[in-house]
Amino acid sequence: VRPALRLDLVRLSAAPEAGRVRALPSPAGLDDATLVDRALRGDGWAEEMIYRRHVGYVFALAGRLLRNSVEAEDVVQDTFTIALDRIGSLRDGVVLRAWLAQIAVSQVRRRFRRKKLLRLLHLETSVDDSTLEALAGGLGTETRAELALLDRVLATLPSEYRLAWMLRHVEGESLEDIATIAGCSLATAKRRIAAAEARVRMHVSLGEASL
Amino acid sequence: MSDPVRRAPLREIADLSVDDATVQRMWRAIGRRRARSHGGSATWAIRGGVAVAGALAVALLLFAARREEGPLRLVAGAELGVVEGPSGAGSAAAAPGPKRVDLSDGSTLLVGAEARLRTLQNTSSLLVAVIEAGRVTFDVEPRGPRRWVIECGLATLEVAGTRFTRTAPRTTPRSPWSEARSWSAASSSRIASSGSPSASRWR
Repeated sequence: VRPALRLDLVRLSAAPEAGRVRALPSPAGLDDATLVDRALRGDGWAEEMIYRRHVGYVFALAGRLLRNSVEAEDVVQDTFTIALDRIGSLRDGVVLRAWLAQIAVSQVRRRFRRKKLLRLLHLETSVDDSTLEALAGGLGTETRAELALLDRVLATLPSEYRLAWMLRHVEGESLEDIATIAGCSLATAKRRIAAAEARVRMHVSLGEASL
Repeated sequence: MSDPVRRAPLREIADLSVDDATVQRMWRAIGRRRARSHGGSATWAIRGGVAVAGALAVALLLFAARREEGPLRLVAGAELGVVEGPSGAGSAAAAPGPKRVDLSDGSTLLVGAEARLRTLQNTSSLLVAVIEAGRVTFDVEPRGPRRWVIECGLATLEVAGTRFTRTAPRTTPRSPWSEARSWSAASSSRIASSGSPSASRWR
């Protein structure tokens, strides 16, 4: 028995061979630039493929930065709503991932500001369910305790420092990408990471007593 | 840029994944948001268009209304021009009363015996008149469409809505008119209101 050949089919109404049907390559074979190009021409399938390819990254990035999975879902929705509506402003489809991260981080920043205000008014009620310690559930007790300390140290940092440090050491982004995502110069990105690192090292070396 | 020290990022031990159901739910929500934002912008565009069209229509109506007003006229429709009071040719005891002149904007003039009021400028927004002789009582409709400027001897009165009486100085008939013409020519150095009207009251 021959296995069924599964093809994604698309009707090319605008092409010269209008009315004919041809096989569409698998999404895995299409790079971001091609998907962006197709999305620009109003291809809904390409828009969905962009979403499906990057939703995991954006969700994890937002969740770890915000420490909250519910808020991360909101950020994902805001990010892709903005991105798909403004995809025409993306000059090079190759940098789609960094561009999405940039939008997501700007949305995270907005939520940081809102949280700060709510905290000042004693109205902040959200629970951090996506801290580094909570996400590292399968690790040993000692490692989780270190991550819990790191979580507490990070919570004391200014939001820009925390963003830069997490993009570097949690997300593993390059310095250039951090500068792009955070919307600052490379020097500023480096300065923020260095300042955050100094604070983290100090607190970690001094232990719980310093917090 | 060189990046010599690269440890494994913490995301490898702090993984945050999203399940298929959530991915699907979020995609539907994104679709709804996009539809709403597109619909919303179209609605706002329609509302904006209607508002602009309405504002233009109101502006056109106001413009047309102003154009229709034109200069001040007598109620009968005749131009204001020169208004003269009744002749007082008889004895003093039989002197005639003032002549009442009703104007198109609701204002009224009471032109005394031997009085003469000449209109110098008459537009939809300005009336300039000179009392050449005699006494004229003005009953100006307040909040009217035009500014009233009455020249009389050395005084220039600007009126918004009031009742007042003004008597021309006793000079030769030609003299006040000559003065008024010379003021008109030197409008940039107009003489401000000097002397008070013989009678006035605010409505």
